[in-house]
Amino acid sequence: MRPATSICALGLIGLMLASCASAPSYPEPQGSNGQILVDLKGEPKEGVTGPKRREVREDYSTRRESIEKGESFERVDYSDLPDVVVVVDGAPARAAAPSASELEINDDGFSRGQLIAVKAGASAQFTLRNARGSSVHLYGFNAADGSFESEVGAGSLGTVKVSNPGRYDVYCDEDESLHCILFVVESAAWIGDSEDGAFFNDLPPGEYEVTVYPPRLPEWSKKVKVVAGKRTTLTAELTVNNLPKVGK
Amino acid sequence: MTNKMRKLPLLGVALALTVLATAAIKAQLAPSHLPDPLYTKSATFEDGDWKWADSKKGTVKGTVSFSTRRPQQPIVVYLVKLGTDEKAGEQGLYDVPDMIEVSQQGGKFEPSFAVLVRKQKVKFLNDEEKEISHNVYFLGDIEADLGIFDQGESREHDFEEAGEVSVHCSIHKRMDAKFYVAPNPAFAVLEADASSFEIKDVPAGKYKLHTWQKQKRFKDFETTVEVTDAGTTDVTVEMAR
Repeated sequence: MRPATSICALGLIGLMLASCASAPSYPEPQGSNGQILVDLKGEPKEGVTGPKRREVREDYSTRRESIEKGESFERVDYSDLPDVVVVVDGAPARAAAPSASELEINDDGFSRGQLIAVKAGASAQFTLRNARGSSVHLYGFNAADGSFESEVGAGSLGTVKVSNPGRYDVYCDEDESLHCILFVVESAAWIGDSEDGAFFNDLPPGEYEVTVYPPRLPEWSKKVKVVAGKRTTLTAELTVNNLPKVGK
Repeated sequence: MTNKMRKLPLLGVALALTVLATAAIKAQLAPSHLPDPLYTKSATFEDGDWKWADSKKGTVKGTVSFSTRRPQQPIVVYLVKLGTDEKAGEQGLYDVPDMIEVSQQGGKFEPSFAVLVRKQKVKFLNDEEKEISHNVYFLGDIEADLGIFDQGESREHDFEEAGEVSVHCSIHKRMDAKFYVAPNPAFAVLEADASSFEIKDVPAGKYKLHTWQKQKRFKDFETTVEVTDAGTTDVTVEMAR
């Protein structure tokens, strides 16, 4: 095989592997139920193309000491926003993947910005892994004054139970700089990186409201009709571009 | 006694009845959110507005108790005239504090926390020393986008509505700040571990006292207080779970 042919063949294999990795396969809809696939499309602010050369060279600071000083020019990666929560209101709740309800606290802070806990029975629960050298006391409130608090010992794994559904701001007594958001849901919910897309299978036909909660960005919401034996695909724009323009 | 003289007392009674009836009708038509009792001298009531400057004023002094450890974070205690909507423009005419400036140097908002009064203006400065663009947008009770501005540029915004505002830059992932926009000038900020407060120059009347917490650790407290002319009203705020 000539070198040029080898390079072409390798390139083709690489492309095939890349396409396999980037396009997750979903089961086909079956029976009398339907599916929803939410494509999560992060869009940077209009007019922002990329870091300027000088910014990249001198100021694209992600070093820990710079961050601690409050100096950071690390950019938002709109191609892969982490910990995006998608809730299908009205759809039957199912146990979320275990990783969706895990939070770790270590020397760098919380391991994630958002997590979900699906309410089954009287309460929902999430697990807290304390990787710090001393015990931590976590607490949270939702808008309706629902609350929880829990203490987990150094190096231990704890289970935190929450009674009321809602969106909770979660804080830590020992380190007040920490903050994450817990969604306690009674409907079908998903959490993941935006490049994956949120897939909901086996939904009874009917009308649902899909709401997307990306960290630090406006919520996105749309009503959708699920039809038996069909997959309904939506594209959620995760962006500030639709906010009212103000200022002078 | 002439007939005319005999009719005079009757005319007087009729006149008094007319004055009383007019006053009663006016009282019925008066907007319910006006200060009670009405101490204002020259306020214009047609628009439902009243002037803080023209009101007789008192003071609210308070102590705050906590049922458990409180975060070392600010708490705002604020007053809203009874029967008015804190989100709407029914809080009277008051002197708006001066505009504040928020720096963005080093990729951070400074100050990163501020308590404003409704209608107060904020100027966001891109005062970076190097050629770096920033964006400012708001989420929460006010959702809006100030656009992108380059080094040396600035944007101003009047906060017309009360409430909690998260401030972010859509370009840089760690640029965040928090504002609380108080509905009117009758508020106090309890910094860190402070547990007492004083709100001066409050127009006399009845108010609902509320709390807002930067890191919510307790149920927000509310109670009714009455402010009297040149008086001091003492109140105890109980922050509990």
